[in-house]
Amino acid sequence: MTTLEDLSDLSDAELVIRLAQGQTPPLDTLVQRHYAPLLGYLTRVLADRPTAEDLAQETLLQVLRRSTTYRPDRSFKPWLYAIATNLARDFYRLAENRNVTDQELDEWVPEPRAGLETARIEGDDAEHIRRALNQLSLGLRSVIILRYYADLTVPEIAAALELPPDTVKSRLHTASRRLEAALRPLTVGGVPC
Amino acid sequence: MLTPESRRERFVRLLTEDLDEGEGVDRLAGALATWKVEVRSDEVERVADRLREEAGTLSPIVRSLRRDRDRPSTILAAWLALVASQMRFAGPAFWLASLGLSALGAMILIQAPTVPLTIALWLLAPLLALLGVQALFRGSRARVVELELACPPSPTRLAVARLFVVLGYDMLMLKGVSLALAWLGPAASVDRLVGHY
Repeated sequence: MTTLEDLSDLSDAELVIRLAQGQTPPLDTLVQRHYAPLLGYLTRVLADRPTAEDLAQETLLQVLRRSTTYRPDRSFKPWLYAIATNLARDFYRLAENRNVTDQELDEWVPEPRAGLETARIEGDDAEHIRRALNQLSLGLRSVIILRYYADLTVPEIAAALELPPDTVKSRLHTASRRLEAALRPLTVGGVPC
Repeated sequence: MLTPESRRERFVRLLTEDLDEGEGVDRLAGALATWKVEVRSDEVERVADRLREEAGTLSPIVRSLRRDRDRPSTILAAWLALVASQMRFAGPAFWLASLGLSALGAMILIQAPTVPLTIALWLLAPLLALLGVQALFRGSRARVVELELACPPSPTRLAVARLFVVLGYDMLMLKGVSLALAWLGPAASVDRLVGHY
């Protein structure tokens, strides 16, 4: 009988292969490893904690259901975040009743979902960065969150979002500059305005 | 768990890697580091429970197939089971008609030894092949192709399994006919017959 301790040494790909073979213990390890960053990604992209919780769980359910189609030569994290991103896109399509392509959705800036607590806010800076991120289009927002919060590399983001790596770099640059610009007036001369 | 300072350092490192100019990196990293999404341990447990529950809803057949599918013995057994299932698919008409044709060929050779062997084979072999092809693609005539496409084995595997059944049956049957001829007629005829088949 395989113990949880044994599984912690396995790679994500090995865990998914075991999942595909009908083993359930790898589920716990995958959830422990990936639920929190996944929830962080979806919370920041959607700006809606309850929906993010639902979609994070649905993403992991999809991993379970699609485990037999997983190709071990493909990195797990891009696959995971590709599923999550597609679910987030579908959510926006349904919520906004917008029948649009992925590209059009990437260029869209959703209205902030009022009255919904998104995260634990630690002071003004966190509130400012949240507001600044919400002003970015979905495409820019996804890229910057995957890079800096979910800790994906540029090639991994490119694989997850099905974009060329150069586009990812360009989006990272644009998004960072916009965030920086959005934060700049708040700290002119070191004094918050 | 990363401390606020190490979070900030990590953001600085990543931003410096990605952006050409360093201006504003520190400020942006500081702001990014402040936004945390808290996840309670009971929440993680709840999600794990939900997934275990979902995994339990997979049918025993699917779980068994997934667990065993990579073992060599299972692959062979699964292949034989697939072939056996396709034997039922062929239908009694195929078995009887093929046997009848082969018997007819044998009778021609026995009753009319002057008939050249190749002519008998030219007449009968296409009919055997026709029966085999009909058995292989019976699904299209029976309007169950959609069902076959929805089966766990791929259409290619199904076709190969049926080919295995049809050719296997034909070869065994002809071998039997050859042995019968050997018992009834001169051994030279048998050699020629088996060689031609």
